[in-house]
Amino acid sequence: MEDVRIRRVVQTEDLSNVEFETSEDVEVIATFDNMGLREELLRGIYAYGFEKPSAIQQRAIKPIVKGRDVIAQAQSGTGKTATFSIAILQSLDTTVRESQVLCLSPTRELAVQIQKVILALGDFMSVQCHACIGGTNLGEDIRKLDYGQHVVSGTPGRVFDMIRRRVLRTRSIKMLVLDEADEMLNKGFKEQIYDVYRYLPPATQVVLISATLPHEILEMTSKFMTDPIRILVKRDELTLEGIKQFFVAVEREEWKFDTLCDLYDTLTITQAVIFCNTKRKVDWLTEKMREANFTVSSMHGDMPQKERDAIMKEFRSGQSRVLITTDVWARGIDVQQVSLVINYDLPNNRELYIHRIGRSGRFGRKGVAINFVKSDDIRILRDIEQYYSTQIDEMPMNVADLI
Amino acid sequence: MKSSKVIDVSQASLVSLKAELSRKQEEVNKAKTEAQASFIHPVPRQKKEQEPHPKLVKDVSEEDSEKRHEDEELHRKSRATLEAKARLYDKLMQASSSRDDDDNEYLVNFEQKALENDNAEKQVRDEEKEEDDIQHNSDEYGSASDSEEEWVDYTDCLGRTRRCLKCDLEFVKDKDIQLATSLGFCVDKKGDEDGGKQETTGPLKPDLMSNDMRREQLRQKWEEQEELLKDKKDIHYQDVLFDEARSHGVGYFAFAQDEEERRRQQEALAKLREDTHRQQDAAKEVRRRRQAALSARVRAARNRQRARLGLPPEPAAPEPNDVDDDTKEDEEAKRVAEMEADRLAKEEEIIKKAQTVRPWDFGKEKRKPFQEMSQEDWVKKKRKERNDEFAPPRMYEENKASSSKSRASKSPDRESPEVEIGPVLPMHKPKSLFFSSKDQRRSSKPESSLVSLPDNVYIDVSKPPPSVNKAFMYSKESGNRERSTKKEAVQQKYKKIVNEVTNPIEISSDEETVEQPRGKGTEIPPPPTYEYYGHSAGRGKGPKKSAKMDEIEKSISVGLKFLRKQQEERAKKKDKGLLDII
Repeated sequence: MEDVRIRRVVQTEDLSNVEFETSEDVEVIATFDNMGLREELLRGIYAYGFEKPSAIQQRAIKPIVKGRDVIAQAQSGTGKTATFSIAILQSLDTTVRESQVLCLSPTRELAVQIQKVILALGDFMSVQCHACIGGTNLGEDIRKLDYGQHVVSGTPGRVFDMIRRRVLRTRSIKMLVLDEADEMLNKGFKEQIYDVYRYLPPATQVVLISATLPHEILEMTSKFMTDPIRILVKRDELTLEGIKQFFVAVEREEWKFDTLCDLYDTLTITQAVIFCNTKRKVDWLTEKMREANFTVSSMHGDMPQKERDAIMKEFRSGQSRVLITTDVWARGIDVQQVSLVINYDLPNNRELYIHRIGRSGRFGRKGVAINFVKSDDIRILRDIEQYYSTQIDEMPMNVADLI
Repeated sequence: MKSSKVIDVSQASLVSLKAELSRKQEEVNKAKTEAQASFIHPVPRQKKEQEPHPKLVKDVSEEDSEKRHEDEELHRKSRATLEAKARLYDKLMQASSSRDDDDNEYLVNFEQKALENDNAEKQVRDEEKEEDDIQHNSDEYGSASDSEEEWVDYTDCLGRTRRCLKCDLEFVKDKDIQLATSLGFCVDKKGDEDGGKQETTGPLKPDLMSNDMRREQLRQKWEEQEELLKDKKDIHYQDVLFDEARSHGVGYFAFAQDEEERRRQQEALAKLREDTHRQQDAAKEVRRRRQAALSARVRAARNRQRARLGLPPEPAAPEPNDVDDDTKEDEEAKRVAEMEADRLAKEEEIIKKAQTVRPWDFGKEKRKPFQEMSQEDWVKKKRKERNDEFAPPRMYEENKASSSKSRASKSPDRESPEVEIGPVLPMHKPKSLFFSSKDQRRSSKPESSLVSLPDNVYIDVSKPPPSVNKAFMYSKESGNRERSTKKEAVQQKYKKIVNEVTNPIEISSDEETVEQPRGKGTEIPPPPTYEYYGHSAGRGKGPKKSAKMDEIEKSISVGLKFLRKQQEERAKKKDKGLLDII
C-alpha cells in the first residue's frame, strides 16, 4: 500500500531565511455593502458603529468567509477583532445550535470581550456566543454549553477541559480562530493549543490574528494550516501615527512614583492604563498611590476572577479612570476612552511594547504613551524605537494637550 | 460651515447681513462685560454654593478658588450669623403662634406672620418661594448693576451653570423642569419629598453618594444582573454590556433584556424598516410616474410642433428611469449571488484541504459528516462491549477466520478487524462474490487496511484522539511519523469512493480492490433476523460439525466459482458493450 498518494505538507526546508509577505491575491473590498454579507449582519455592523471597513477588514473578511486559512496582521486598534467576528458571523448556520466556531485568546478578559463583540455584531441574527473561561463556575459553563452555542470564545485551559468532558462537542466545529496568535503559539500556550487542536476535525479552517507576528510564528503555521492567505504589516508600519510616544528619564526608580503623581491630573483627563512588569509591583504601586490619596484601581492575574470582572466593568463603564495592571491587560483589551498608557516599567519584549501602547488610540482616536526610563533603560527604548522605525521623544510640558 | 456652503446671494444682502452681525456681536459683547461685572462679586457666588446643587456649582467656582479663599473666613462668619438669625426668627415665629405676648423687642410682627401661615398655607408657601427666588437674586445681584438687563446664573437639571436675564428666569426654569421631566429625572424626585423648584437640580441620588458607595451599588447591580443571566438560555449584547461607556453607531438600538420584549422590539423595528422600504418604493414610483407623465407631455408637445411643421411624430424613446428602479433589486441579487459564490468557494476549499494532511492532523480520523449509526454498526459496537463469557466460543471465531475465504461474502460484517488480524491473512478473498454492494464496501475497507497496518486502525470518535504524535510539535523527525503516515494512508483509502456505475473496466483490472458494481450481481437481502442470529448456515455448523464443514465449504466454493464466472462474463460483456459504444 505504499503507492497511496498523499500530498503531505511537511516543510522540511529551513524557513528561517524566507521572508513572509502578504499574499498577492488579496482582494480589497472598500465597503461592507460589497462584501456579500447577510443583511442582519450588516445592520449589526452599522449599529455597532462601523461605517467603512478598515484596511484589515477590507482584506481579511472575504478570504475567511470563503473558507481559506488566514494569517492576518494589523496595527493595534484597527478592528481585528471585528474582522474575524464579522467573518465568523457570516459563516455561521444559526439554525443549527451547535458549536461551529472556536475562538481562543490568551486572557479571560479578552475572551469575554470577543464574546461581547460577536454578540453585538450579531444582535440582529440571534447568535449564541459563550465565553468559556477559567475562574468561573464549572457547572454553569457546562449548562451554558449544553444549551448549544454557535460560537465559543474562551481561554485554552477551560476550553480543553470542556472538550475533554465532552461538554463542548467538536464535531461541528469548522473554524478555529487564534486571537493574539503569536502569544497563543508561544511557549506557554502552544502545547495547550495543540491539545485543543487534536480534538478538532482534520483540516479545520484556521485563522490567526495579531498585531505582531514574529518570524518564528509564521514559520510554524504550516503545521496546522493549509495554504494560508497572509495579510502582513511591515514592522516599520506597525506603530500608529495617532499614538504619540514619549519618555521621561528618571535617575532612580523611586522618582518614577513622583513623576506619576505629577502626571495624575493628566491621567484623569480621560482614562489611563499604567503597566508594571510584575503583580507585586502593581500591588505596591496601587498601595502607594492610594496612600498619597490618588484614586486608582488595579488588576492582575492573581486576583480572584470575580474581582477582575468587577474591575473590568468599572473601568469599562468609566467609574474608574486609572488602572494599574500587568501584561494581562497588554493585549487586545478595547476601552474606547483610554487615551494614555504609561509604561512604569519597560516591557520585556518588543512585541509587548506595541501591544501596550495600543491600549490607547483605539480605532482612529488619539493616544499618548509615556515610558518611564531609568538611564540604563534608555538603550532598550532606543532599540524599540529603531526596530519599529518610530519616534519616541522626551515628554513635553504640554502633554495634556495631546490627549 | 461657511466654507461648505455656496449660496447665491446678492451683494446688498451680504452687506446688510454683515452689519446685522456686527451689531449683534457688539450687543453680546456689551452684555457679556456687564454680566462679567456682576459675576465677579464674591458674595453672590458664595451664596450659590448653598443652592441645591452644591457639587456642580463648586466645580465651576473652583476655577477662582484663590479669590474665594480670601473671602472664606468672612463668609463663614456671615453665614454663621445669618444662620443664627434664621434660627431665632423661626423660634420667634413658633413662639408667637402659641403665645399671645406682645413682644415689642422686635420690629417684625411675628404673630401676624404666623397667622398668615395658618390662613393660607399653600398659597403663602408658593409665594414665599417666589419671594425667595427673587430675594436670592436681589441678594446676589442687587449691587451688581442697576441696569434692567440683569443677568442671573442658574444651574439647570444637567448640572450646567447657565446665565440668563433675570426676567427670563421663571420661563427658563419652567423649561428646565420640562427637560428634567423628559429625561426622567422627576422619577427620582418624586421619591424624595421635596418638590417645587428643586426639581431642576437633577438626580439627587448620585450626588449624595460617595464614589465608593456608587461603585458598590453598581457592583451589586452587576452581580444581580449576572445572577439573572445564569438562568437565561439566550444571551444577547445588552445582557453583557454592563453599563459600558461605548459609543455606538447611529443605527444602534438597545434592545430590552427581556426576551419577549426584545422580540417585540425587533418585530417593530423590522416593521418600521419594511414601512420605510415601502414608502421609499412608493415615492420612487410616484416620481417615476410623474417623470413619465412629464416626458409624455413634452413628447406630445414636441409632436404637435412637428405636426405643425409637417413632420411625422417622434419615435417613442425608451424609459430611462427603469435603471434607477432596478438598482436595489440588483444589489439584493448581487448579494445573494455573492453569498452563493462564497459558499461554493468554501466547499471547494474544504475539498482542497482534505487532500493534504497537516502535521498536527496526523492520526486524526477523516472528517466526515455526522452519520447516524446503522443497525449493523450498533450491533457490532454492542458486541464489542459484550462480556467475553457470553461470546460464542473462541474456536468458532478461529474457525471462521480460517474459512473466511468462503464465508466472507456471507457474513462480512460479523468479522471485526481484530478477528481478522489473525494468523490468516485475508489475501485472496473472492471479492467478486459479494452479494450486496452495501456489505461489500463496508467490509472491504478494513480488509484493505489490514494489508498495510498490523494494529487497530480505527479511532473511536468517542475516545480522545491519539496523543502519540505530540512529538510532532517539536521535532520533525520522529519514529511515530512513519506509523501515522501509514494510518493516514489507510484513511485516505478508507474514504475512497469508487464510481460504481461507470467504471467497471478499471475496477475489474485492479486485483486488489475488485469491486462489484452495485446491482450487477444477484443482490439478496439478508433475512430480517440476520442481525441477531447471523445467517443460519454459518451459525448452524458449529465447530463440532467440522466433518460436514469440508463438504459444505466445497459446495459453497463451487457455487461461488460459478457466480464469479458469471460475473466476469458479465463484466466482459459490459466492457465489450462499452467498447462498442466507444
